[in-house]
Amino acid sequence: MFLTVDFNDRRPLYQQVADGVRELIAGGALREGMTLPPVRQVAGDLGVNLNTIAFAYRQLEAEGLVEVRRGSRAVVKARHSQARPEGDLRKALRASLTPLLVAGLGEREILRIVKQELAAVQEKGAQS
Amino acid sequence: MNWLFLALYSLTVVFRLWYFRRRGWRAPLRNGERYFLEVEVPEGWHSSAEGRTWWRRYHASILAPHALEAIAFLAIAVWGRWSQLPLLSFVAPVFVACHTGMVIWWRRASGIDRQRPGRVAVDLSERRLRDYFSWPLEALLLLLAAGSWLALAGWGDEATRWRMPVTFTYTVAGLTVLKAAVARQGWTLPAERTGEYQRVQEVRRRQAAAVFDGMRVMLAAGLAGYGAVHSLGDLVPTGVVRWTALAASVAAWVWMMAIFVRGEQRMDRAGAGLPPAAMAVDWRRGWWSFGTFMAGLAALLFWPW
Repeated sequence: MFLTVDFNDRRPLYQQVADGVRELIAGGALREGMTLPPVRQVAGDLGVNLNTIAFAYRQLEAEGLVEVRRGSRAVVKARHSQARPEGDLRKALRASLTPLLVAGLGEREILRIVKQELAAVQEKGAQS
Repeated sequence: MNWLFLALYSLTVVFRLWYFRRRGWRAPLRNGERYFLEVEVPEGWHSSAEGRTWWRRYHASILAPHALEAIAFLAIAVWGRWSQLPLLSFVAPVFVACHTGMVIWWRRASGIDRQRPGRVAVDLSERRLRDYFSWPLEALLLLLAAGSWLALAGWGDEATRWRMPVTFTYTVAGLTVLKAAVARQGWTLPAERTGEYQRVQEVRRRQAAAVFDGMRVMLAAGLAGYGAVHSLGDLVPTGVVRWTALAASVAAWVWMMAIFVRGEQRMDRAGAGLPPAAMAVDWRRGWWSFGTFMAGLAALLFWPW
C-alpha cells in the first residue's frame, strides 16, 4: 500500500500525508487495527523532518481516525472520523467547490467531477 | 594467521577481476543503452566526444581505488607486514566514495539533481528488523564469537595477540548495527508502477542485508579460526587446525560470493524493463543522508585500526 505526495502541490506536506492516509482509510484500504509505519520510517523515506509526519499523524489522531502508540506507530482506529457537526463538513465541501465555480465550471460538470473523484477514492481503496 | 589472510585476499582479488570484467566495467549501462548511470541520454551519446569523456571518467573512478590498493599491497609485500593485509579492506569505502563522487558529478553536470521530483510515493508497510534478521544466524555468530574468546582466554598460547579478536568482534558488531540501519532505509518511489519499483527497492535492501551477513559470517569464521589456531595447539596437530580453519574460511567466503552473485541476478530480474527510479528521489537530501551514512561506516570500521 502506497501513499502518494506531490512536492509541487501547494498544500503543505503534512496535509498531503494526512489527506492521503485519510483517503486510504475512507476507501477501506486501511482497515481498523492496521498499523501505519513509524514516523521515522515515513519521514526517512520522504526525506522530510520527523515533525512533518508526526504532525500529520496527530491531526489524524485528533479526528479519531488513528491512535498514536508508543514508538510513534499509528493504529487505524475507525473508518469514519469522530462525528463532526454537519455544518463543518458542509464548510469543507463548500471550500472545495468554490475553486471549481470560480474556474467557470457548470453544475453538471462539477457533479461529474465530484462523482469521478468519489469513485477514484473508492477504487483506490479496493485496489490497495 | 597470515597465510589465511593471504588465501582469502587472493580469492577476493580473483573474484573482483571476474566481476569487473563481467559487470563493473559497463555498469553505467545497467538500465540499457538509453541511460548512463541512471540518467537518460540521447541516442548515439555513448560514442560521442562527450560520452567517451564521461566513460573515461567513470573508468578512472573505479580504477583509482584499486590502484591505491595495489600500492598498499606492494608496500605490505616489500616490508613483509602480512598481518596488515586486512587493512586493504579500506578499498571498499574508498571505492564507494569514488563511485558516489562520480555519480554526484555526473548528476550535477546533467542537471537532474537540481530537478525536484514531482509526484512520488512511499511504501506504507512497516519495515521490521525481524524480517531482515535470521535469529539462528545471530545465535551462530554469537556462539562463534563467545567460543573463540573463551578458548583464547582459557587456553590461548603465547603468540595470541588480542588486537585481532578485538578488531574482529568489533567489526562484526559494527556490521550488525549497519545492517539494521540498511534494513530500515528507504527512498521515495515513482508514482507510476509503484508496486514494481517497491519490489526492486526491497530486493536491493535484502541484498545489502545479505552482503552484510556474508561479511559478518566471514569475519566470525576468521575469529573462530584465530581462536582455534591459538588455543587448540596442544590438543590437535597444528596442521589439522590450520587446514580446518582455512576450509571454514574459504567456505564462508564462497557463501558470501554466492550471496553477492545471486543477489545481483535477483536485482536484474526485479528491475528488468523498468526505467531507473532515480528521478523520484530528491538528491539534494539523498546525498546528505548517504554521505553521513558512509562517514559513519568508515568511522565505525576503521576506528580500532
